[in-house]
Amino acid sequence: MIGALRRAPGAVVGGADHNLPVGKARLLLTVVVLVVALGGAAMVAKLATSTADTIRADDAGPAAMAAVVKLTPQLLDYDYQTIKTDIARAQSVTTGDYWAQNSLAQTLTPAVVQQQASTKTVVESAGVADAQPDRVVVLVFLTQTTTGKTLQAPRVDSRVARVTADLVNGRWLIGEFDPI
Amino acid sequence: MAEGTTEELAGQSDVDESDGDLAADEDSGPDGESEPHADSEPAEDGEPDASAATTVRPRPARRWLISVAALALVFVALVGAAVFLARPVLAFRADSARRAAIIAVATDVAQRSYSLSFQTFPQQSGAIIAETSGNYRQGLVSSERGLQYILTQGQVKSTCTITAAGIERDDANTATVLLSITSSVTNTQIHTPQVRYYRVAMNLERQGAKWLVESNDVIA
Repeated sequence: MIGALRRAPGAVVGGADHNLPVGKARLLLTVVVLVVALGGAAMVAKLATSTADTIRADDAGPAAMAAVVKLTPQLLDYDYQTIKTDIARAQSVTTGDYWAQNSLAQTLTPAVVQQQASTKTVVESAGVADAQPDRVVVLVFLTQTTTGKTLQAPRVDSRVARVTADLVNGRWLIGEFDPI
Repeated sequence: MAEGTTEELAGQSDVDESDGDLAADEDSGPDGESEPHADSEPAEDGEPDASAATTVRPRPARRWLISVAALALVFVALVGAAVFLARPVLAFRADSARRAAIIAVATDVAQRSYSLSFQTFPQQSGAIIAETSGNYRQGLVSSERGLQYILTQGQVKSTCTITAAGIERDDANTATVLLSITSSVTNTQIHTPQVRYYRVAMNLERQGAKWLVESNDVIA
């Protein structure tokens, strides 16, 4: 009786076994299923990376644009009485590459002091021209109001600039500022 | 007697455990079926024991079937994950395509609007009007003849370059585009081309599959 009971599960499986592939067919099916599963896993891994990049790129545009609107006045504003502080602040909102390419500190300071000049910048509008996960180009319409001892009245300039923002250590900084 | 049988069965089970795979493989027929192992044949006169019944190991075919089913489940899970992961990518691509369409219409209208010639204005105005909507369209339609007169009287010709364009904001149905435009103008008063710079903001709206310009404003 025990023997009969012990055979029962095996008998059930044995019955099912009749319908299962055997030999090379089983091996082939195993390999196919394994390859499909591994291929699927590889595809999903690649897709996950792509999705992460996509989400970063999608977030990059608005985040970089907001940063550019905030940082552009910090880059451009100066006053002859606080020029050293202004330059330090400008350096803090730009990448090292930007500052290496712009010798503003050397050229700006003497002229600003001599002219007793000051400039206030207002960003009127900004729009994303191109967005990558770590680099966003923003078109900026800005107005600069400049005063100085040689100016009888404040001079107002309407300007357009293409500002490139770079993501550096999780923070958007100005990498390039190209007046158009 | 029952206890002895149980112990005996337990001992036999150990044997089955230790060489189960090998024994089963050896016993397997060409069709994958397994014959009961001689050593594991229980005593016929013993009482049924639940623990003994559970010691029966699945045959290789069953294990294979379970493995394949598990892999298939993994694959199904991967497909589910792929669908989940693909959604933001597809949404991003749709947004990118929408923004490209918005920029294309805005730059096209800007190009036409700031590159005018008194000789070709009727054709140009028709093309501009076709890409506009609302009050802006109405204004163009109503002022078309007046503009033609002014351009002809002044023999105005202008060409322009869109130096930059960016999307200030956009959603599924509306958008605002900023454009930086450099224009070169000649007329009866200005024979040497005069370069002019414009900052332009355009509002667009979607009508069906098309994006149309509903305002075109120069920002001082």
